[in-house]
Amino acid sequence: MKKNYRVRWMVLILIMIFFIISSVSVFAEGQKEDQEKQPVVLRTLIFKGFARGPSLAKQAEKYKEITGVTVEVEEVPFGQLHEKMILDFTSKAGNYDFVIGLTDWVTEMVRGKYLMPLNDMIAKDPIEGWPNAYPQGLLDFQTVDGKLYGVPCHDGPIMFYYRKDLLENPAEKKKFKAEYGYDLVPPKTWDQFLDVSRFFNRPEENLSGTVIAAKQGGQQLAYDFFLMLWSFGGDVFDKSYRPIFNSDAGVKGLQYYVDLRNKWEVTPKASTTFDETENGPVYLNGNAALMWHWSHIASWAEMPDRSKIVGNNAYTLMPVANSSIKPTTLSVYWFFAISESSKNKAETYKLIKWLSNIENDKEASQMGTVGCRLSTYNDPEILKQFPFYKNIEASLASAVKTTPQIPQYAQVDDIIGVACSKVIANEMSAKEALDDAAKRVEEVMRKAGYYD
Amino acid sequence: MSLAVSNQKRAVILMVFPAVIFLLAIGIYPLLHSFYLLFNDWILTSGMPPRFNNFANFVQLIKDDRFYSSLLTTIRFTATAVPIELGLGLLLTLAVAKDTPFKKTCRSILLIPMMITPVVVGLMWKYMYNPSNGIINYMLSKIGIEGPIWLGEPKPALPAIIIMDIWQWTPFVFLILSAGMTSLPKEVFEASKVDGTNKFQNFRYITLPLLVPFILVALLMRFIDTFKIFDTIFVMTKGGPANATEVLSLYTYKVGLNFFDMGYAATLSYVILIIITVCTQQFIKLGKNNAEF
Repeated sequence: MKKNYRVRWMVLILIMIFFIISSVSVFAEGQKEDQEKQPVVLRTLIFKGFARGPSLAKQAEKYKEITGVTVEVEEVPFGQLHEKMILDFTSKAGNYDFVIGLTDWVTEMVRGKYLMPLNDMIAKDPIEGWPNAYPQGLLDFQTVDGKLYGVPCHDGPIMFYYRKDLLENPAEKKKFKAEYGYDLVPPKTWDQFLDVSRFFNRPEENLSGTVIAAKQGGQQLAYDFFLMLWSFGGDVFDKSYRPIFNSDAGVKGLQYYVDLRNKWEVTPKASTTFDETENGPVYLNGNAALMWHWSHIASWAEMPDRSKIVGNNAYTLMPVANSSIKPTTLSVYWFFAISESSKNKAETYKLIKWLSNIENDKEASQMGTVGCRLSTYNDPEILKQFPFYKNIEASLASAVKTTPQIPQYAQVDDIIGVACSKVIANEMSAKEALDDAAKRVEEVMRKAGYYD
Repeated sequence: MSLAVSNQKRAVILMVFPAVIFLLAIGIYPLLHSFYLLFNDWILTSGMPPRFNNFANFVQLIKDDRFYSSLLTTIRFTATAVPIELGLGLLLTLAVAKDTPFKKTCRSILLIPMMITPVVVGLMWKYMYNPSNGIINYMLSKIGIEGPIWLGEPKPALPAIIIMDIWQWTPFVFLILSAGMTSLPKEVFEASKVDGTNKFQNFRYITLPLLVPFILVALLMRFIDTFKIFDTIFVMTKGGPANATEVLSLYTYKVGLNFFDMGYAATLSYVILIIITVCTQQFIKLGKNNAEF
C-alpha cells in the first residue's frame, strides 16, 4: 500500500514537472517565432497635449509606409511621464525604445545610465547637416562630459507675448497715455507690465491683463519663479550649489508674482488651477492681453483651429525689474534619445535620424511644434507663417538660462512649487517661504553629497 | 484511515503549491523587500545599490514636518468623509427599504457613482469645480452666490474633495446596509408591531442594534479606503494648493515615484500599513464584542 501511494505521488510530480517544462518551452518557442515573424515595432511615450504629438503621429504613419517599421506612441498625463519613463529604465523592461525626454531630466537619466550616447552612431551615419544644423544652445543641455545623449525635437524658450491689436490700437494708446503719462508700448520692465495689465484688465469684457499658471504640482509654477528670480537679478544656486534663491531678488520677484493675482487681480483668480496647458488657451481665446509662455504659443496663435487671435499676436523679450538687468529667458526643450534598454537601438537611431531631417522638422513646425533646425528658422515658408522664428535664434544667442541641471531637480521643483503656493495662499510671507525652501533644498543637496 | 487522510492532505498541498508560490512572489516578496528598504538609503535613479543606513529613515520621518501635515490632512479627510457617508448611507437605506418597483429603481440608480472608475470621477468633479466653466459655480451664481475657487484655494480644496468622495462612496455604504436590512429577521418586527412600538422605537431599539455588524463592516472598509486615498486627489489637485490636500499616500507617492527615494518611501508606506492594521484590529475587536453581546 505504502509503495502504491509513493508511486502515485511520483507520477503526479513527474506530470507537473512535464507540464511546467512543456509550457515554458512552448512559450519560449512562441516568443522566438513571434520575433522572427513580426516586423520591428518602436515604442515611445509622450504627454497628452504635447505640441510634437500631432506631427509625430503623422510622421510615424509615413515612416511605416517607407520602412515597414511601426512606431507606437503612448500618451499619458504630463505628471506621469517622468515616472513611467524612469520605472521602465530602472526595471530594464525596454518597453520604450525611443525616448522623448526633457532637458530637466538629462542629468538624472545620464547618472542612471538610462540613455545611450549617440556620438558613435552620429559619426557613422550623421543626421542631415550635422553638426551645424542646430544652434549650439540646443545641444548643450543634453551633452554631458562630451557625450551627446539626444537630438533636439521641440523647443521652448519662454517668450513674452502681447496682443498687438490692443497695444497698437490708437484709441487705446491715447487713453493709456492720458492715464499713465507715457506711451503704450510692449512692457520692458515689470512696473510697465503692471501698468499695461491693469489698463487692459476688463472683467466686463472677459479680458484679463495677463494669465499665469500657478498650480502647485504643475509644470509651470517653479519655472515662473525662476523667471521672476532672474528678472529681478537673482539666481538659484551659487557655485557650490548652495541655494541663494531666497535673496532679496527672489523675495521681490515672488512677491510681485503673487501680487499679480492677490493684490492687483490682473490675472484670473482661477490661475491657481492652471498649468501651462491651461493658461495658454486663455490667451489664445483672446481673454488676456499679455502673457509669457513657451514658444509653441507663437506658432499656435497663427493656427485658426487653435487660436482666436490669428494675426494679432506679437512677442518680445521678457520684462525685467530694472534696465540694468539683461532680459533673460528660460530654455527647456525636448529631445529624441535612445533607451539603453531598447532591443532595437539601430532601428531607433534610424527613426531619430529620419524625424530630425530638414523636411520633417519643417513639417512638424507647420503642425505646431517649435522646430529646432536652423534650416527651419530660415525657411521662407516658415517665416511667412511664423515670423517668431527670427526671435528664437536671437533669444537663444542672448541671455538664456535653464533649470538647475542636477539629478535632484524634481525635489527642488517640488520644494519651490510648494513655497510659491503657500505665499499665493497667504499662508506665509515670501521671505518666510523662500527661507524655508532654501533650508529644505540645502538638506536635499547635503544628503546627495554636494557639500562633502 | 489516518494515513489516507494524511496522504489526501499532502495531495491538496501539492495542488495549491503553485498558487501559493505565485502569491508569495507578488505579495510577500514585495513586503519583505520594502521591509529591507526601511534600513537602507536607495535613490532608484542613482545607479547605485541600496546602502545600509541604520535607522536614518526613521530619524528622517520623525523630523519630517511634511509627514505630520500629510498625516493630519489624511485624518481630517477620513474623520469627516466616513461619518457623513455612514449617516447618508443609513438614511438612504431606510428611505428605500421597502420593495416597491420605484424604490428598486432608486436603489439601482443610487449605485451608479461607485461603479465609475475613481480617476474618471476625479476628472468629472475637477471639471464641475472649474470656477469659470464648471456647473457648480454656475448653479451657485443662479442663486446669487459667488462660488469659491474650489480646487485653487486651500480653504475649499479639502472640503471639495470630501464632497466628491461622499458622492462616490455613500452608495457603497448604502449597498452594505441594504444587504443588512434585507437579512434582518422579520419575526422581531412582527413582535414589535404586536407590542405597539412606533417607527422611531423600531429603528432605535431593533433596526439599529441589528445593523451594527453591517455598520462596522461599512465603517472598516470606508476607513481603509479613505485612509489610503490617492487617485482622485492626484487627478484633481496633486496635493495642492499649498499642500492643503496632500494626504499621506500622495506624499509617499511623491517621495517614491517623483524623488525616487525608495528607502524613505518604504518607511512612509509602512506607517500607512501599521496605522491601517492597528485600526482594523480595533474594528474587528469591536465587532467581536458586539457579536458576543
